[in-house]
Amino acid sequence: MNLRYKTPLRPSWFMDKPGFRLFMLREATSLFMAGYLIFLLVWLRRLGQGPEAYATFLESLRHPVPILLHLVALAASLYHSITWFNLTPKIMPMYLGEDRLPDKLAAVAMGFGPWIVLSGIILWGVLR
Amino acid sequence: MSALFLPVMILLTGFLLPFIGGAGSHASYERVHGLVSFWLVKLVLFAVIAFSLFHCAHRIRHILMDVGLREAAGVLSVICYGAALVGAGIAASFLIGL
Repeated sequence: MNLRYKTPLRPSWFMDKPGFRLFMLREATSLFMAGYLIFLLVWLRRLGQGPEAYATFLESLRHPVPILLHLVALAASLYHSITWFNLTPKIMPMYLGEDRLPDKLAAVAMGFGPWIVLSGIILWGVLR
Repeated sequence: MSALFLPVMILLTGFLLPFIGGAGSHASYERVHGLVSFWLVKLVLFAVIAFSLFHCAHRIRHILMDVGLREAAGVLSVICYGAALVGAGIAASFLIGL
């Protein structure tokens, strides 16, 4: 795209308003998610290398730095998930016949409910 | 998909498996390996990782464009989506090799 007129925009434009800041905070969670996904690839590799490699890897995860990184990643992913589930009814309203369901109820039905159930099933499947 | 799966996966790999996933436990190597080796789990894991990688790549590209690299949009596409593609390929090869 080659536009003749470009509106000037400072790199720090998103610090101007609280809403912009929250938007950028939410977008920035993707950096931590990308970091976690790379970690997940390493985890898969170690799992494929056999019991010893996997045990050594788990041992290395029981240290403060990986625990802290996981806490940050968890906070980032929770913020991302919660804001997303709150958002979906605004993009995709739910109707019951002619009536639009309240956004909060639709968020539970489409987002938070399935999320909790799925997370529970995965936890149960792995840890039972 | 990222929103649904990633929090519980971080909880598992970061906290539950390292601290209660020792030998002989309910989440021992054998059980976790067996579970992840099941084709349906492999497929779901691949989808979660691949979609999440592209989702992250897309958002990181737009963060960079939003803070002043709009001129470099084309280059950023190649770098970000290329990295996601490579990551998805690595995930596929690791999953197939399990």
